[in-house]
This record gives sequence, C-alpha cells and structure tokens, in this order.
Amino acid sequence: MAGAVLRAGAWPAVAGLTGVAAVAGGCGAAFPAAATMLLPVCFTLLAGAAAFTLDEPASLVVDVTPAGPARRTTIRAVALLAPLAAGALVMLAAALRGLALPWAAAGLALAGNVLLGFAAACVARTRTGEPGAAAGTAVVLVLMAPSLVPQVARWVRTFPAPGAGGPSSDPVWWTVLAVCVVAIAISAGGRSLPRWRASVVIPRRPGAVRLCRTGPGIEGYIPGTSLSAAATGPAGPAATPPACPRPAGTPGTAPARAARPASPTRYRRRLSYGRPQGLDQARRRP
Amino acid sequence: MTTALTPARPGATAGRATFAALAVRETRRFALNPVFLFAVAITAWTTWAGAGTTAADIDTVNSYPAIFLGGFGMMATYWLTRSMRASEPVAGVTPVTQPPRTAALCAVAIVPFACGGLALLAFLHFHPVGDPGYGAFSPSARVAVLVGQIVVPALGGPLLGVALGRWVRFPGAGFVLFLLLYGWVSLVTILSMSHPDSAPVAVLRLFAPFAFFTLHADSGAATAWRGSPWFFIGWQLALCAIAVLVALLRGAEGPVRARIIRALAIAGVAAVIMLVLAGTGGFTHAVTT
Repeated sequence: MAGAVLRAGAWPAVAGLTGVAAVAGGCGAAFPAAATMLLPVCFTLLAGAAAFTLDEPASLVVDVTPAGPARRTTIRAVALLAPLAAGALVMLAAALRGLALPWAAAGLALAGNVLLGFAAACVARTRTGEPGAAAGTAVVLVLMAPSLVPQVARWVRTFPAPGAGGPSSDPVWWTVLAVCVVAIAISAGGRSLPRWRASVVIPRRPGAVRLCRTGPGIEGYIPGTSLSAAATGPAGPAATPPACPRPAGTPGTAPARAARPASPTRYRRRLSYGRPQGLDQARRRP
Repeated sequence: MTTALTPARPGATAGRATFAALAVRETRRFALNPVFLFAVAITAWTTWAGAGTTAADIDTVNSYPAIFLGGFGMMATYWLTRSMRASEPVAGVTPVTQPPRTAALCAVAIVPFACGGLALLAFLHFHPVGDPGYGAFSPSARVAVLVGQIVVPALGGPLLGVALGRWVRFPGAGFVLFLLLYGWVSLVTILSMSHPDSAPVAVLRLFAPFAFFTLHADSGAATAWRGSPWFFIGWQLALCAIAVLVALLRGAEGPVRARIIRALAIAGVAAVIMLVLAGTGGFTHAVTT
C-alpha cells in the first residue's frame, strides 16, 4: 500500500520545484556574494515543493478508503526527503566553496521551511484534495516577506545572515517547528472529509431499506427458500431488519417506513435496490 | 461639403461589444482579487513609509511597486487565467473564441498600470527629480529610470501572468516564476556591484523585467551604472508585447495565428535590439557623484 500511495504523489511538481531550488541554491553557492539572497529563495522553493507532497488528484476515491489520513500522511511524508536532501546538498556545496554561514542555524531554517510547507499542505488537505498550489503560494509569501519588505526583517528573520545584527532566526524556527508538529498531528489525526464533500448525500431509492448483516440475513426474507420459514417464525413475518447505524442528521429511510409490516412482495421489490425497476417486471414476463 | 459615413461591419461592432463586456467583467474580478488588493495596500504603505527616508534608500523604496504591483499582480492574473480552465469545456463552445477572451484578460493590466502611475507620482512627490540620490543621470533619464522601475513592471507583470496561465498547467508556476525573477534580479545586481564597468554584466543586469541603475554607498555617494534607461523602457515594452502575443497565440487558428506569429517575430527582434541598445547606451562606465 505504501508503494501505491507514494506512486500517486505529485512527483513531477515535487521533483521540479526541488530541481529549480537546487539551481537557485547552486547559484548561491557559486556566487558567495549573492548567497544571502539566493539561499533563502532556494529554501522557499523547497518549502513550496513540500507543499505539493500531499496533492491527491484522486482524493474523491482515496479519502473514503480504509487507509486513514494519518497513515497516508505518514507515507507521503517520505517525499519530504527530496527537498531536504536537495537543501543539504546545497549547503554542502556552499560550505565547500568556503561560504561562512552559521550552518546549524541554516540547517534549522531548512528543516523549518520544509516542515512549514508540509504543515500548510496538511491543514489545507482537510479542505481540498490538491492543496499544493494554495499552500505553496501562501508559504512562499510568508517566507519571502522579510526579504521583500525590510520593515518586516527588523522584527523577524527567516534566514541566518553571517555576522549580522538584528534578530536571530533560531527562535522563529523553533517556534515554527513546534507549531507545525502540532498542526500536522491535529490535521492528520482528526481529518474529516472536506465540507463540500461531506454535504453530498447519495439519495436512496424510495421504498428501499438499509439491510445490515448484524440482523437477520437478507435471504431469510426471500420467500420460497429454506430460510424463509425460520425467519418468519410462528408469529408471522419477521420485523423489518434493523437499519445500520448511521451518522446523525443523515437523511435516509424513515423509521416509520421501515417499521411497516412487511410482506414478501414488498421485500422482493425492496431487494431490487440498485437495479432498474423494470428489470424484475421484465423478468417475470413469459 | 459632403461627408460620407460608412457604417461599421456588424460583426466588428458585436465583437467590440463582447470584448468590452468581457474586459469589464475580468477587470472587476481582478480588482477584487485579495492578492491584488494586498499588493495595492502594501505599495501605498511602503511609498508613504518611504517618504522620510534618505536618498540612499531610494533604490530600496522604488522596487516595491515592481515587487507588489508587478510580481503579485502576475500571480493574481495567473490565477485569474487558470480559474477559467475548469470551465473551458463550457466556455469553449460559446461564440467567443479563446483569443478575445485572452485579450479581455490582458485588458485587466490597465488597473495595476494606473496604480503604478499613481505610485510614480507619489514617489516623485516624496523624492523630487532634483535629489542627488538619482546619481549622474539627467533629469529626463531620472524620470525614465523611475518609469522603468515603477510603472512598466506594474503593466508587464500581470501580462506575463496571463501568458503563463494560458500555457503552463503547473498550478504553482506563478510563485515559482516570481521567485526566479527575484533571484535573477538579485544575482545580476550583486554581480554589477563587483563589476560595475563590464558591458556583458550590464547586459545581464538589463536582461530582466526590472533593473537597478544606481548604487548608493553608506557615505552618501551615488554610483550610476552603465545602461540607457530610455532603451530599457523599450526593452520592457517589447517584453510586454511578447507576453500579450504569446498569450493570444493560445487557441488562435488560421490567419489570426499566422499574424500573431509574424508579430511575435517582429517583437522579438525589437526586444533584442532594445536590449543591446540599453546595454551599450548611456554611460560607458560607472559614474560616482
């Protein structure tokens, strides 16, 4: 199952963004004077790549499979290794080029960027099947704010600058890491179906009842079989089979209708649920 | 004297009416886009906040309209263009073909262009052309620098977003291109700092939709780099034309497609000529005042 979940990921987007980030970071390593401008761009692109890891074009189907969101998210998190590895390679290349950066803080910033992108995707995934574009754009705008607006950089710094004054980026990233872990845990653990999808109710055929295997078997209500007598019993036709438990507020068969005395003819009609009504009639014709 | 009035073709009149209706609708959608509203608000704030800054900070302040009106405007029009992709099976069978709809999308660039014009006026109010921070450029060249840094990027960014939305399917292409352009401009600007007199580096610096023309030292001295601001505006306008034509090319058929391709070739040649003139024109070396 893990292989199938991983295969279904948005790998072109993740790999493409990671590649573009590697090129930007490589330019930063090649031109050390521009490293403080290009490495943040590289890390931001890696955060954008992480935001695409949870994209699921077939979410209409996948979201209702028995595999829970926590398990799917855990499997998809493997894809984060790509941006993390690319960022580590860029930092290694920059270090080999003699770039003087606080590497521990840079590594923390890399992890924070990637985890922020993933957390944004996790939160947005509870609403949509393909959160990559929206989450990625939001993360990019947030992460680039200190670079785009120097007034913001006076208060918050998202990339450790070598030997510069001003605020350190470490407290920002430790806080972001903690918040992201909580957000991922909440959104992956208690993720429900998106609202727009949960509101869709499949209408039931009029007159059909919900049959449950915990009650008397369906075959017990088919006259002419060996089980019909056992199901009917001495007191006449058995009561309506119990309806399966349903979430509150879901429209469906009315209890009053299910409690009506049953007759073999009615049950035969009801058991044709899912087939065209005319099929049984056509079958009865000589 | 007799005046003969020839009535316009009914088809052309109907086409113009359709285009106007579509343009108005798209413009309304764009003007209400949250990203664009945020861009306008932060551009106004940064322009106002930069009112009291020294001349050394001019280069910092005049890049905001390009970043927000141009860059964010590009992302907004990219989403605007992509938002119609889902309804293409329905919209595609209407009598209006894709090129007029693309042209209507391109028309929304008038809004950020007007905002850029207002930002230029505000900037000139707070930083008059006579300020020494503009370097050794003549007064007309100083205005050209500001037009190329404030007004034209506000026009070109949204047009680029429309072209991108018409041709690229990847949903994150808007922010990727924004980051790439930001990184490229940063890289070539830093290269120009270390090689201020190099002609190839000057061409590289101008090979972008936005370029800096001056460098301010902490001592207050302003260095004017190589390059002609007027030809740079020509290069930018050629890029705008290329963006529009590339966007219109999507869905064009028959003679319209041939005309667009021909115009695209002409615009490409004009862009190359303008870039060469911009790189070789102006000062022959960096001038510090």
